[in-house]
Amino acid sequence: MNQTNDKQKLSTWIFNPFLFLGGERILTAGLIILAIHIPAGYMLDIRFDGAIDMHLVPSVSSWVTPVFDILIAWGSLVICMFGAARLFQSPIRLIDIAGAVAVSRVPLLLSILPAKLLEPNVKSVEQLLSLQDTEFYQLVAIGIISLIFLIWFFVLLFNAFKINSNLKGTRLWVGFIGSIIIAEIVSLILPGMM
Amino acid sequence: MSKQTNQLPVNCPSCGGGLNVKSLSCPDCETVVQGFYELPVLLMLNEDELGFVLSFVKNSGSLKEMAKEMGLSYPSVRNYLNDLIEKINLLEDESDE
Repeated sequence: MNQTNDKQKLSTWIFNPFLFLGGERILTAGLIILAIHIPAGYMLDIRFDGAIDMHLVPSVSSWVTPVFDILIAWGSLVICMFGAARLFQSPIRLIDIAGAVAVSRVPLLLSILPAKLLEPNVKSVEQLLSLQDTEFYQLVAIGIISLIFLIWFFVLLFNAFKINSNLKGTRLWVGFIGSIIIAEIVSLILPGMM
Repeated sequence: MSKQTNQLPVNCPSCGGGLNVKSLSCPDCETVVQGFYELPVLLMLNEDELGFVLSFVKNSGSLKEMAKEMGLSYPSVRNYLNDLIEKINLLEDESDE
């Protein structure tokens, strides 16, 4: 395999750490990242209510809410990606994809900081639509920063699926997009059924 | 000065087709054997791929040990092996034709 220089190695760690991390190491790192979601969600009033979602809400009333949120969001993606890879006869391991999906959520966690720092003080949609000057620009800045973190999140998810499934071409894209869509639907429907 | 070891060319630099062996010589008595010999599949692999095969054998086929040695994850090493198997199958099919 080709030797990479330090700069390439750094970008690989940022966008594709799965090249270096697998098995117990990535699962441990992933579980720590999942655990951080719980106090972050409860104390900073954030819901992770969907496989690829993160929303600022007025209040999170209980510790149980972020626990369920994160278990459903993570679990649905892991099961869908694992299932999609197995459907295409990939030798994927549950431990690798479970850890990789959890590690992929780092950008979502990091995006909380700018979102909370720049969050405008609004209580209703009407207030949100009537924002002007500084608060309006803050809202635009949150949107742009969140989009950058979301793209990073998707790049990590894609690389997690690609490295762990070793699928290529159409199978890779169908498996990835299909599992994201199904996981999102499942994670939105499941809380209502519980 | 250390002796330079040239890499065995496996593809024609002109048309890109696979090369065969036409002559072999003894470095001691300089006897030359001429004929038409196809390269074994393993020799058609590049330096990195051959290194991987050697490492695989030395580690008794343990991908976990190889992953540790190479500083890569288990799935990365398994993917490399799967791609190598695919390439070997392709080379075997080509040489059978």
